[in-house]
Amino acid sequence: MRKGLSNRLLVILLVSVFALRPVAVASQQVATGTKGMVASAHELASQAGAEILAAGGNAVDAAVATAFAITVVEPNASSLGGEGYMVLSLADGRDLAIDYRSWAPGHVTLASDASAMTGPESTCIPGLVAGLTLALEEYGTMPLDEVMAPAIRLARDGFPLDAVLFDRLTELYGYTDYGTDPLIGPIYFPDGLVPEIGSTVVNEDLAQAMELVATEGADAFYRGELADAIVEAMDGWFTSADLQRYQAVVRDAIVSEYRGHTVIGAPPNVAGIVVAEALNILDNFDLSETGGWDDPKAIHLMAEALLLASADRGPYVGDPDFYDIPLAGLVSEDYATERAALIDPGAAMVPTSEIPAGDPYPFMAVPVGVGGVAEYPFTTHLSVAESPSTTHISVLDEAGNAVGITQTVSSFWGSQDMIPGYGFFMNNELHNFNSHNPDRPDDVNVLAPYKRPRTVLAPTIVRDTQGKVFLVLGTPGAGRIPSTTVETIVNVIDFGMSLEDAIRAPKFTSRITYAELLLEGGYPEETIAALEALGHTVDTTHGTLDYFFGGINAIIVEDGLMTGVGSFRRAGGAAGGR
Amino acid sequence: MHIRHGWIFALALIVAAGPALTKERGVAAQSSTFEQPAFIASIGQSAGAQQAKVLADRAGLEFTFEARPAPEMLEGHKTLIVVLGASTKGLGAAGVDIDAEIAWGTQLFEKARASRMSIVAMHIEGGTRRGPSSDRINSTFAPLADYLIVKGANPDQEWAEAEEANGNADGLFTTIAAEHGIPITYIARTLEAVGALQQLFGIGAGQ
Repeated sequence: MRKGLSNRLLVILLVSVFALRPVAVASQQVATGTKGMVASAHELASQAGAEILAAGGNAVDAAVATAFAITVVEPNASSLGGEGYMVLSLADGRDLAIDYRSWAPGHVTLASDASAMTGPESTCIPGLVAGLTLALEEYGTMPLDEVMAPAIRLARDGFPLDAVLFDRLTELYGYTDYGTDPLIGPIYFPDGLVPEIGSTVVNEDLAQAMELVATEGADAFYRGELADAIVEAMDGWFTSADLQRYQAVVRDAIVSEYRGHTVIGAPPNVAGIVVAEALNILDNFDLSETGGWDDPKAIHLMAEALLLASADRGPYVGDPDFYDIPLAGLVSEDYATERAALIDPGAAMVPTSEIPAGDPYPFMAVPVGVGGVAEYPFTTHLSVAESPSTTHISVLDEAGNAVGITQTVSSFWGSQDMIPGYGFFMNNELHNFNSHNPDRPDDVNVLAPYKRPRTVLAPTIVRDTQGKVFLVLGTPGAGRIPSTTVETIVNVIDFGMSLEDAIRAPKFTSRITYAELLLEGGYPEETIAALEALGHTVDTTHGTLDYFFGGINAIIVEDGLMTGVGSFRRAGGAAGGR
Repeated sequence: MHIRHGWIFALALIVAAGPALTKERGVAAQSSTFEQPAFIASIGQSAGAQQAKVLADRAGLEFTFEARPAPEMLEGHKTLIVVLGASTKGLGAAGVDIDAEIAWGTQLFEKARASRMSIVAMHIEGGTRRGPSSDRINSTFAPLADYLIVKGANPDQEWAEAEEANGNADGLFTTIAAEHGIPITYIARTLEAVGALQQLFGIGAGQ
């Protein structure tokens, strides 16, 4: 007890030291530098990471600092009670991924209802604290309390409310009986009203929770004081044993090639495979001969490739600890060529819901499987409720270590349950499972104890033809994540756009669960007409720079100069050392 | 007070309130011209209406709150307070689209006028409620009100708060107020609506 207290005092001291220490950090929505870069959905979170880089930390140290800080300044999108996926491309040549996806509680069964969107019964066992601490222990260089100090400082001293969080708080106001919730109200609605833009948001409770983690490590969250508070707040939905059982896992990253570049993505059961397969399919076409991002021929080819890749997600992408997934087949270039042959450059595949899954098994060097294509394709595809939630962090250090993190609580504000006294929200990941359907006995996304639900996170790193990190990117945006990621990569590599322009350019999304080709505002009328002439059913109801299409936070390296871009579709920011 | 024509009422109010109405922010009518009980509703189903409920409570106003009432529920009330601003989520939760919301709002205004109620329109969520959908609501209903309370500034005047908090940066409400002779109170912060409501309804010291 006495030791714990002295450790807490040490953390407070560290926070104070960091608060006073001047750092050579420049931050804005688009930042440039040569000594490391961080891009995230909030400038202050990026600054937190850049401070760690300036203090001598590597990209992993900075990414963990940013990941904790973003839970403070963007509390609607990620949380200690959430989860995520990290991809790493290390300067020593290793490409890795850290899976800290959440797990279903131990008591659930195949027959359990997975439809709740709020409350404890919508929640999975959170993985964020385990994942970030594992990353730091295995690949970082600095102690946990040092990298968490900026986040703790932001929570304790407060930060100015921006227009983006104001909008989200306006939603939360409605969710919480208009600010009267006894836990949430005092933190986010101190006057009983949505606070003014520019007012200071303080979350002392969250600072307290983070100090416990900074002092005691992940055990504080999974076995200690925080675990007790979570179990009590979840009212029986989790047990202490559930939390103690949780582990983040290091996995092999998905590695594929696109136009001579190496694409490093997150393996199942998230959507790195969709990005890889779509790019592999597009490798069969010369997009540089098209007119660019607004050329209907280019949009058509990308839309069809994304559609085919998304069709493979349903039957083959499940929790890899529960199924043998035909990953090698899915990322095989020969398999992609077979899939590409289904694309007619002159006509859209319709209806989208009947696009067949492929059969990747013949392309496996070593046969494995979850049942094979015989039981598939599904003739209809399940759709889950989707919000434009989630957040992404890209980090690159001077040595060439790159980290991409996409983390989430699923819907904005997750389950809307705040842990009493600790100021963070729990996730609502459970609805990402499919409810059991006897007509689909081979569904790999059904509920099971300690299983991860399938989602669409896709943090991505691209190395250039010389093997150097060239692009670190990722986005929130639920079902739009793969399409926004692929389009941004294509904009840069095929169309030669600057990263800023590539991100700013309007986005579309094409996915087997969408009946229409959804277009962000900003496409020329003639492009829309040409797409319709190709047979696409086009939806043009979205606005320009609409956060429905995500919000890429990315870094590019060109001639040694790092350019970080914070999302234009949210109030993103980049920060780096000059 | 049973005024059916907004411009007549507005003219009377301008005369009564005098120069106070031309001030830039945090200023309300000086005369207590609106009667209680009031009925607070939302047109656009944004969270602003819920905030108006908190503000009216703090103002000491006697009121009924229902975000999307049947027009008949206005019976027995003297003033209708509508909070303008579209929320996609709010409309979705109500199971309506923007066209249905405008049609319903029109019925609500017709009922208020038929019941000889006065109407106060509030726009208190700043730039957040100034998109295409919100502006359909703003432009439809603000001109039909007897009084406007707007979080924002006259475009000719300085705005010291965050840019996004200004719901009148382009002067939409200033123009509506001028064209339709509707008195308008600008507030810089949401809480200032408490004072505006108190003055409008004659609540507080000396009243």
